Amino acid sequence: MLTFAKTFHTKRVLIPYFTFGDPSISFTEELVREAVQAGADIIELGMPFSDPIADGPVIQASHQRALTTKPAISFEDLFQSIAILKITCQVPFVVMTDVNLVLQFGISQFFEQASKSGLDGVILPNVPIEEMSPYLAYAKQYNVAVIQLVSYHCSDERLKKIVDSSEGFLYVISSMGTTGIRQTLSDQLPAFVEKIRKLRDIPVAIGFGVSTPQQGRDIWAYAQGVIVGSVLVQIMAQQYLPQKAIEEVCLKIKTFKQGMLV
Amino acid sequence: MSAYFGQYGGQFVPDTLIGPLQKLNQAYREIQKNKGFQTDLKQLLKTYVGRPSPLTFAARLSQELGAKIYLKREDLNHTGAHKINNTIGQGLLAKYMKKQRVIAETGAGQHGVATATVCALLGLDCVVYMGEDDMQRQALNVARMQLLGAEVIPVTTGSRTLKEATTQAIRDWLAHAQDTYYIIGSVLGPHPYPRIVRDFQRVIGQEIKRQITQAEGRLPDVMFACVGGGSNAMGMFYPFYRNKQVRLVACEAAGHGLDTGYHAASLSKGVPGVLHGSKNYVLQTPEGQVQLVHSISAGLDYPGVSPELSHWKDRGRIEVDSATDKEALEACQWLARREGIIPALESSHALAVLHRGKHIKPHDIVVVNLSGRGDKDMGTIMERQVC
Repeated sequence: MLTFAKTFHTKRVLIPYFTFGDPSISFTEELVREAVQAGADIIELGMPFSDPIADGPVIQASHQRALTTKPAISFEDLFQSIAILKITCQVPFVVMTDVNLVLQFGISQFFEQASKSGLDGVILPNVPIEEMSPYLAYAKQYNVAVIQLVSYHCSDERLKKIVDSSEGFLYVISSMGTTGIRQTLSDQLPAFVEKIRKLRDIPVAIGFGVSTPQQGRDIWAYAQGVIVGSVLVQIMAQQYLPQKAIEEVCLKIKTFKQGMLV
Repeated sequence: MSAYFGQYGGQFVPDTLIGPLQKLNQAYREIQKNKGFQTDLKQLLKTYVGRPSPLTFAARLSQELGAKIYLKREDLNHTGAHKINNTIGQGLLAKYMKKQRVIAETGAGQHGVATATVCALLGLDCVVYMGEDDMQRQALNVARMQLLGAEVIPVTTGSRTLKEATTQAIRDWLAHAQDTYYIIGSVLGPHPYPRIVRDFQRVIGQEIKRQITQAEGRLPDVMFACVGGGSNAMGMFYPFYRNKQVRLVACEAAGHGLDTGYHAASLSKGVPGVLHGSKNYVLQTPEGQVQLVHSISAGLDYPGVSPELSHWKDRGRIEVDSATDKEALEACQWLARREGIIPALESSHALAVLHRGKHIKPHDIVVVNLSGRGDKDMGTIMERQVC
């Protein structure tokens, strides 16, 4: 958990999202290495799931590609890749997964193996704070951060609970609905982030819909982290040459990073 | 009100939906005590749906099986199935919550039609998500929804059936929860939906209690209902939960056979997991990917099942059995020729399990929930050359 503090302390943070195994595990590993070279500060990997309810069409399709390549893709595959990647990539890794995959793997086993692999954080998008306690208990035992998702419609009472139980950073959903590319983000975000800051000094990253470097710049004016998913994953759908796809993703990451310097 | 039935149920949805679910829960508690609401509901059930639905004594079936067989005639409801009990209730609830836009998912199209009907009646905008494959299987119901003024949106991902339609409806609600009411069609989804749908459907079991007592002077020995998501079964079974002498048989879709992998028998073959916002029995791979399921009846073609029925299964309150596609078709023909009633293929699964005779003793008093009529299935029935 120190790693997150260190990452967020030094600079504005860019967090690219990739779906693990899209279109193959070896491709994801190479993509992650290159993305870190290009300036990614934290890597978020999505575990492919048959029914990702919080995802829009772009990320749904990427889950399907991964499952087509390897229908029995598992956390064992994921943790193995993370253990290998952590040797060369000196950045925190977080994993986003549907809770059903964790339940079938076993909650305790999941956090134990996550910890062994060097995974830094877990995001469970369909586990709200009301259902979170069993996961928090194991996460604590194995020293893995559970990064909570929160929407700006969250009531004050619930927000306090979420902020209090958060570790690493807080993931604020930029707009209603699913993941996906959006032209505009809600104008309620700056005030909402300010509200969080008054409750607790915890880094805030904003995701869901962030697709242009300009949006990234706008967010960095009031929050520390920007999460970019669909706009990168879309490249994988459109670019059939693997090396070309990696180059394009890295170029995108660099454009976002340049936005930080302005 | 607890969000759980034993270890099942809960609210496994993104944070965005917790606020809307809390508001729904609040409104639902209010309308239970709201006399105006309850009067409107009763009035519509009586004069619009046609309740109470009859309890028909099936003389020729009884003679053949050596027991007293009664049929609860949900097929005679307006729109042809039990689904309207729930959509009338939730439609009024949407009105009460001042939501102008209603969304729904549908498999066989019965819930979609029932939702479109209520929206037309109450002057609400209606969007129905339906798998592309189901739209082909149930073209007639698609046309009915459109005639009623609903927009039917085809879902083209995955199995293109009920599971994907439900996922898509939840995604719509994530984006539009502020002005949209989601009328879920079965006893599924995040709390409080499984309770709301059960409560609007329990009129089925309440009427049976009255009707069978009048006809026989006592409660039945055993009752049968088909189970996809479980709404007609919960509606029938719930008022009998504490009457332990009444055996409850949940009849699932065995598709091509329980050991073929092509079925939709979640209680028989599933493992506890989370699907569409609640914990229940789910047909899934060892890794936790939700499986594609199969049933000849689009209304049973779903990989999860009611969290409350999941709990009742573990507690041993229900007996779980199943019927294959072939058995369901045969049972459909059986009822048509013996009693002059064409049942929906969903309800035919309950009739098929009854027909096997395993769950009944001589002279038992038996009630089967005829959850819907078979008109919508004539295409499938003609293809299979049953008639």
